[in-house]
Amino acid sequence: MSDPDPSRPATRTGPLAEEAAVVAAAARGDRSAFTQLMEHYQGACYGLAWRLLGDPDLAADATQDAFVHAYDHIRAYRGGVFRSWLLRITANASYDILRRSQRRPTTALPEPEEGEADIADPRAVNPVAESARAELYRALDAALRLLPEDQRVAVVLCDVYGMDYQEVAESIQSPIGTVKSRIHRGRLRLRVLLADQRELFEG
Amino acid sequence: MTTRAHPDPERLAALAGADPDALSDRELIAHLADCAACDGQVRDLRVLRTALAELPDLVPSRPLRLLPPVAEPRPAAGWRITFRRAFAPLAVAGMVLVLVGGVGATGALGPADAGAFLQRLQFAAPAAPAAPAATEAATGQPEETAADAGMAPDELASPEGSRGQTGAMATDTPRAADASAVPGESVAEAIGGSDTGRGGGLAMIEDRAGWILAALAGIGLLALAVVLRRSAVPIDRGSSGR
Repeated sequence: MSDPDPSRPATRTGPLAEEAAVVAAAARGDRSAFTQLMEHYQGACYGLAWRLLGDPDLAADATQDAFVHAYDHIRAYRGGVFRSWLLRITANASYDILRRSQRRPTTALPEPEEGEADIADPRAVNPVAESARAELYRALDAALRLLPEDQRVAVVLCDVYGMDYQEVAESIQSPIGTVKSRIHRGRLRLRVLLADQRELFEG
Repeated sequence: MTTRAHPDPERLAALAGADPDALSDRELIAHLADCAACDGQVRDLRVLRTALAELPDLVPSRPLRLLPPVAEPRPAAGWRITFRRAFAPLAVAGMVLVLVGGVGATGALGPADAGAFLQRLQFAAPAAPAAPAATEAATGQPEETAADAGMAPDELASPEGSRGQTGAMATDTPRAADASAVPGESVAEAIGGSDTGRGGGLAMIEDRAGWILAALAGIGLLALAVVLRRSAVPIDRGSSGR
């Protein structure tokens, strides 16, 4: 997994001001409105793609694909949280790239014992980090990258980006039971991986 | 402290994620109330989930193109839009006129008309000594005689018989019927090879001039519709169209 570049952490993107009106304008064909939306959410989309793919170039490609798909289908957008709609598209685009690149499965990773987490050089994920919170984020991203791919995808979609089981199942085209199991096993493994950095969670 | 076996860790992870099945699992909830280890694990997992949900967005590694590379459609001028919108009604009107005019001009609207025309050809056949070459040249087929047609000379020569078979045609187009009733006239003459036949052909054309004009007008409308269609750029249906 390569670094995001630039790796300056951004905050979690909230809704755009007057978002409903901007989305409606974009759906009517207003290109500047669409540009405004994509500019606002590109960090969220890229972050998701990067966490799913682990490669900055592939993540940028997936984000770009997602924008094209969103442009083609924004007229079909039927309300709800626009960020979630866009993230679902990004997840699908990322997963398509993941499948095409045939980088699965990464099941050879041994199950780490409690306290033996190997979180190599957190700066590889977020080199510019000054606060304890940023340190926690680096550790989380580093731990995520150590998960088997199927678990990482499920945990990222569900726990990081707030998708429900059904949405995750549709994104990765797997049964809900499989999705649940991957999420639960991923959480358990993350806990083990981060066991010796418990102090980060207390800050 | 409970003596029961610890639940499957995946059930604890499900509970930490507020999975409805796990939340409604009374046995699991009861176990947590008695088992500090399992309860601590669930609390750790909840803290982990909270932290995961706070992971920040990332700045893309390279500038992203926010819009697909779509060429801006040329704005359609008002008159072009009007022309384009006129295409469909013009085309439909043209097709209707061509169809109706064509059918009317060929006599298909009235079976008797076609019968009269054939009858005229058959009358002309028996005494056409010098006509075969001309007939073939004119019709593309060898001359057909009355005998070939299986008709008696008397019957052929009878004006009543002719009228009886031509029916409405004989009434509607007396000049054409008269011209076709001349015995011994060749097919070539009947269709305009002689002065008399030429008069009959002209009469037929005159009779059907309305239909022919309608068909020609329809062709003209179709041509106009095609020209208008080509002169108008596609209507801009919104810049998001791809």
